Amino acid sequence: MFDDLGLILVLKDLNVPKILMLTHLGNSLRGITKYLEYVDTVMISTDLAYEEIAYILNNTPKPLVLFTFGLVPLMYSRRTLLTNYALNAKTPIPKKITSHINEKYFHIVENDYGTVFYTGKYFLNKEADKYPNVYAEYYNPLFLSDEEIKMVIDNNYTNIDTFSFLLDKKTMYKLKEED
Amino acid sequence: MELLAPVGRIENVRFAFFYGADAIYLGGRDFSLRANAKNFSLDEIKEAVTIAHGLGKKVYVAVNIVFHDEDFPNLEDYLKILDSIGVDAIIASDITVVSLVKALNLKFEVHLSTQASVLNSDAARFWQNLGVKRIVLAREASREDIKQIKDDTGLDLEVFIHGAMCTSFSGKCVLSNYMTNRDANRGGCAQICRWNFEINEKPDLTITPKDLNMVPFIEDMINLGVTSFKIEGRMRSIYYIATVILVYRRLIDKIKAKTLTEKEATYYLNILNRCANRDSTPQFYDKLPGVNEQYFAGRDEVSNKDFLGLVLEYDEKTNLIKMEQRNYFKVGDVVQFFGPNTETFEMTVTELYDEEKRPITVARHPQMIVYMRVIRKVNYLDMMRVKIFDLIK
Repeated sequence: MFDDLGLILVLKDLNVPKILMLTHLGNSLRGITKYLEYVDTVMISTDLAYEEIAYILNNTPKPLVLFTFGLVPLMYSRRTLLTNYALNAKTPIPKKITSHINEKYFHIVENDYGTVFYTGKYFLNKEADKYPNVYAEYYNPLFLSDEEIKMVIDNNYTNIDTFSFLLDKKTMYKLKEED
Repeated sequence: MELLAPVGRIENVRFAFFYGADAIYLGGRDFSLRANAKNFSLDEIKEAVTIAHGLGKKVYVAVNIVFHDEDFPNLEDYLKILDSIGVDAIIASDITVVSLVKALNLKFEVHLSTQASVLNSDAARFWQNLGVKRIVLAREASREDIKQIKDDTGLDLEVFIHGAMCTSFSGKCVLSNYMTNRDANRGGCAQICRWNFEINEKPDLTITPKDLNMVPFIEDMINLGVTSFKIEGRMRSIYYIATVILVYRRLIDKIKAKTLTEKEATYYLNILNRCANRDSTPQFYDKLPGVNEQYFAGRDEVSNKDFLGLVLEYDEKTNLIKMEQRNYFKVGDVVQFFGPNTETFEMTVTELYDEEKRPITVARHPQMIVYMRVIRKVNYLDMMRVKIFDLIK
């Protein structure tokens, strides 16, 4: 699994299934179909609503990977944001913290490659088993305990704080229409 | 080598070229990031192309959103119309757009947007194989990245040299989607990276980057073979784009003529930081950004009112200018005039008249027309600003 398009050229002669994790760039059937000319399958973006995912999976020329469960990565920075914060605040440098803006929470993790912001709750696509053409369902167990992982495998989310992220409502981008 | 400037509305096109841009980039009413800028109708794009080509310059149109399936109707027609208008290139990040241009055999070039976050030669080659002629590199590109990609691919490379930064790799941030349901990758970014993140009982986490400026490295980038120097800011004012374009135009010309002094470079940097009202640094070019490349909680930003007036006419018999006021100023203020064909000079405002040429002491009303006596020739579209920095001697 990879997301850098350069690896398509590097790995082209390698005889293993190649899964392109388009993350936020895999938002349309047309785009995904184009990328499928180069790889075995693609992971659909988590930026989509239920009906958008359904449209893609109902019409895709090849089965696709569906992000079904896990913390959703929201932002990837090359900067070491937690280190910079700690140096400025003169506090010990954390490698992981939880933060929030109002009622929206984030898990923030830093390593040598930079900083990633994740959602505070675990994304869960409850419709995952209803779609056709699913190559695989992607489950990201980041920060789950062993016990919680076992519960997820058993499809038991009782004690895990899940949410639907952007599934219930399409995103918007224009605040008003031009006259 | 090209100086590429942003324009957010048709009125800014003449300013960009007048102040020294070789090319401009703009967004149409659809398919472009900065969805809530005024942007350009197709007629206005045509007008911009006419102006540009008449000056021997170029126009690039941003078609750089990441498409959802609902966005595709009208795309093909839009691209064909842009082609018929004669735009020189589009800036795109979606593989569908890049492929469609090739399939339709359209004449304009495709430049790959920074949204694709290209940072290595293999990724650049992937897009090159699809017909992309120029890559706008990720803002995280280091000097070594730029050199390697240029050496390996020979592609035209466009590099940001000034303006706002994203905290995230461009195209890989959905903080706005999460917080506000506004899609960052279709032009609705709410700039959550500029908000404060609370951490219980500790100082707020802030992740706001300072702006980018590449003043110390322009010469090095010219030597590396960078094709185009890009200024960010389609939503910026005419004062900002005029100031920034003129500074980099003068820097580039002086570097080429080998006449740039350290004093001048410092002066220009001060001017740039002042007009943006933000600090700026070279960011990723020579190092990984650290503490000094970000802002932290407690920063206070007060908009300055430096831009005072826009010159509309100059009468060389009377030394009177006709000027459109842009901020409050009065008799007794020390001001500076600058423009692409005007050596910056300063003077004290001694005589001021209203539109009927009656003496006044204050120009207080937005965009009022005033007449003012100046001590030296100025030109149409020169600008007047508050004197903040001493001129270079």
